[in-house]
This record gives sequence, structure tokens and C-alpha cells, in this order.
Amino acid sequence: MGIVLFHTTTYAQDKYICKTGHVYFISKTDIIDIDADNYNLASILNTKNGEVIFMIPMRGFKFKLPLAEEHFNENYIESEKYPQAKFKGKFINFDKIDFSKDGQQYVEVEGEMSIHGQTKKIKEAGIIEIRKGEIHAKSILKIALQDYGIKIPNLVINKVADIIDVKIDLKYEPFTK
Amino acid sequence: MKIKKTYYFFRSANRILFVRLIFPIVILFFLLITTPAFSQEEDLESLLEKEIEIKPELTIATFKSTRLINSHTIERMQKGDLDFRISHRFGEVNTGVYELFGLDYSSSYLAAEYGITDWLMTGIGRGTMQKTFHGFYKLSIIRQSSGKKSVPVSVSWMQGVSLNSLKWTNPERSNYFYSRLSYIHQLLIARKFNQKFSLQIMPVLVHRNLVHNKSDKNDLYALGTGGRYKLTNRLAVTAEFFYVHGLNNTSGINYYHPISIGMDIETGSHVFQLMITNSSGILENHFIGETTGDIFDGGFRIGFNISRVFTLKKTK
Repeated sequence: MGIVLFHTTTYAQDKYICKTGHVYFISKTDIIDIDADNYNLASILNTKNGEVIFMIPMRGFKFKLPLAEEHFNENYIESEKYPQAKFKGKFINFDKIDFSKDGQQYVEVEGEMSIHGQTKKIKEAGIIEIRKGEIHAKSILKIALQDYGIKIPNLVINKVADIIDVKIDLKYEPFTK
Repeated sequence: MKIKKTYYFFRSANRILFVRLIFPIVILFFLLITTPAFSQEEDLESLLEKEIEIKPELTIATFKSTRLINSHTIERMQKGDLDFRISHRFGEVNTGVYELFGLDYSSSYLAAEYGITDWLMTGIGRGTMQKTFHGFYKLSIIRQSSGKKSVPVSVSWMQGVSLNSLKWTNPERSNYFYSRLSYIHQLLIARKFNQKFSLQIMPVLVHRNLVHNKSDKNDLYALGTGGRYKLTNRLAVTAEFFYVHGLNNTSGINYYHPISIGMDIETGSHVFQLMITNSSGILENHFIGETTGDIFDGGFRIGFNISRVFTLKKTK
């Protein structure tokens, strides 16, 4: 028992958490650009083994076009059925990352992304910046709707992009508990 | 001796308990100690799940449009959205080939409706029936929501006024302006049970300042109910029925309780609503008080509503 408790407490010091990360996405077409912001991205990063997890509540996406928000939730992402998107993965170049050194570092992450109830293996690149003990992370990625079983009806096919540009931006704080 | 003791232990009745309960626990402990990476991965996800607070979310899209078929729904235009509506009802199917089963006849209503805030909308329109001008507002009082403090239903309140602008049939009689007016007060209560099924109850009071006959009542109370069931994300079937208290059938014209079934088709910012209904009126004072179709005698008609939403003001 003592050994188990000891293990978990040491790990806790290596964990960093963010609950208010920013996700932005845009669907660009010739006819209309549809974009949304979400400030409820939650993530935990383990600097000891390079594991990272992201959770994004789908209802947290706020659109400039109210109708687009309704269609996003009701028709495309089906947020009642699949309330969140999830990414579970690891840093590939973990041995090269130094979390104690201030400055920017290039990172690569590999893992499983789940959106709309469908899971896909992905590999993405990003930037980590250490500033006064805080870890900032940024990434730009592309999501193909087809990969996650999101269908666009023929009638609006030229109003919704096949590939969505996504930007994430978050600031981790030491996880204490 | 020790070995023998263990042997006895296993022979005892406690053996089953040991194998089923204690042994797995011991194994689990070993697993936790020897493979931290495995337990770690499980941890990170559940750890984060514990940290996230699930925010209460307002239920959206209980219905696809601000109208179910003839009746209003609890839905309102969102702030800055303009809804341009065209509603059309053909004639009764039982009019036969000569009237092309009602297609030669038309009763229509054109409207512009706007969301002032996310909880208040207003609209104006014009209907061909009695050359009616109509204005209304709809207030969202309670929104259904999920989360810690969940609210089971959405409640909206609608009030409207209709102005009959037909020329007076008896110009020599003293006619007053207010005789042209009818008022509508309606409470709308709806619940979205799941992604597919929503149900609404809508009591309504229609007050007509002037009625056709002395025996007609000025106040009509009606209790309506309606619902929708989504077949796919963009296709739904709908139905509504009003029981109207105090319909007067003594003056030669028979009035009936309005009943309709319909279909909602959504394509981006358009919603098409196709329906079969026994009322030619599109406004409350017409379909509550002056529905003349007897469904048991082929007295129903086809019709459609088209709603096109334009976003005039983007949020933020």
C-alpha cells in the first residue's frame, strides 16, 4: 500500500493542467467562411513520460453565425450524442524536450483523436514554450470531416469545407492535488 | 509445517473466497506496483474527467423552426437573425378535378420576423385571408437545460394582433376600427425528450372584437398539442392538433378543430415545411376560429411554409 501511494504522489508533481485552453476552427469556402471559438479546452500533460490528453466540449464552440452553431451541434457533430472530442497521445520526440528550459521547442505528438464517436490515429506537430515555469503549447492542424464520419449534404456541399483548419493554444499550470 | 498449514487453508471452505476475491486483489496490487505506465495512462484520462466541470447547457433546436405547422413553437429567432417566411395553403382536396384537387386555390401569408435579443423576437406579416395585417412578439421565459440545475421544459409566451382590412360588408352600418382587430395570447410549453423527439403543449386564447354571427363567441379558448420526430438530421415529421372550446356550429357554417400533419426539411438556412391540414388560415385567429375543413369528408388541403433565415448581425 505504501509503495502505491508513494508512486502516485511523485507523479502528481510532474503533471500540468489546463482547463481554459483555446480552440479555433475555420471552414473556408469560396462562398462562406464559418468559424468558431472554444475556450473550454481541457488538458493534462505529464512531463515525466510525455503523455498528454485533451478534451474539448463540443457545445463550447461559439459561432459568429447563430444558425451555424445550431447546425454544427444538431446536424454535423451531433453534440448530444458525442458531447466531446478527445485526444490521447504521447510526445514522439520526448527525449529531446526539456521542460525546465525557458524558450520555444518543437514537439511532435502522436495518438488517437476521437471526434463524432470515431477514432483515428494522428500525428501532429506543435510548439511548446516554457515561460517562468508555465508551459504554453500551440498547434495548427487539419481535420478532414470524412475521417470522422461527418457527412455534408449535397445541397450545402460548397458551403462547408472538406478540411477544417484548427488552431489550439493553451497554457498549463502545475497540477496540484 | 508451514506448507501443511497453507495446504489446509486451501482445502477449507475459504478457498473459494480466496480465489475469487483476495487473489485478484493481490494481483491487482502487484500490477499497480510493477507496471506504473499502464496505470498512469488510465489515470490521466480519469484525472482530467474529474477536473472538468460539466457546464449547464441550454437545449437547442427543440424544433427546426419558429412554427410547428400552423402553430408557433417555443423557438425564437436568435439575436440579429431575420426570418423571411412564405406560407401557402392550397384548396381542399375534395374540390375535385375541376379545381385540380385544390391547387387552383391559394391562401398565403408573407412575413418578416426578427430576433431582437436571444429571448425576444417580433414579426410582422400580411395574409390574403381577410387581407390581414399581423404583428406579434414572442418571449422566451424558460429554457430547457441540462447539467447540475437542469430545467425540464422550455416555455415561451406569444402575443399577437391581427387586423382584418377587408372593406366593410355593410358600409352603412356604424363600423369601428377596433372591430377589425383580433388578439392572440398563447403559452407554449415544450420538452425535447431526446435528439429526435420533442413535444409541445400550447394553450391559446383568441379574442375577436367582431364575430360573423351573434351566436359566435368573441373569446375562443383552445388547447393544442404537437410534436416532431426526426427521421434523419435534416428531415422530421410533425403533427399538431387544437381542441377549440366553444366553436359555434349553429349559424350555417361548420367550424372544426384544426388538425395537421407535416414534414420539415432543412437545407442550410432554409426550412421547408410541407403539410396536410384542414385549415386554410395561417394565423391563429383564422385557424383556431375559422377552420372549415371536415377531415372525414376530404376537407383537407396541402400547403407549405418556407423559412429563410438571414443573419443580419453577427454575434460578438
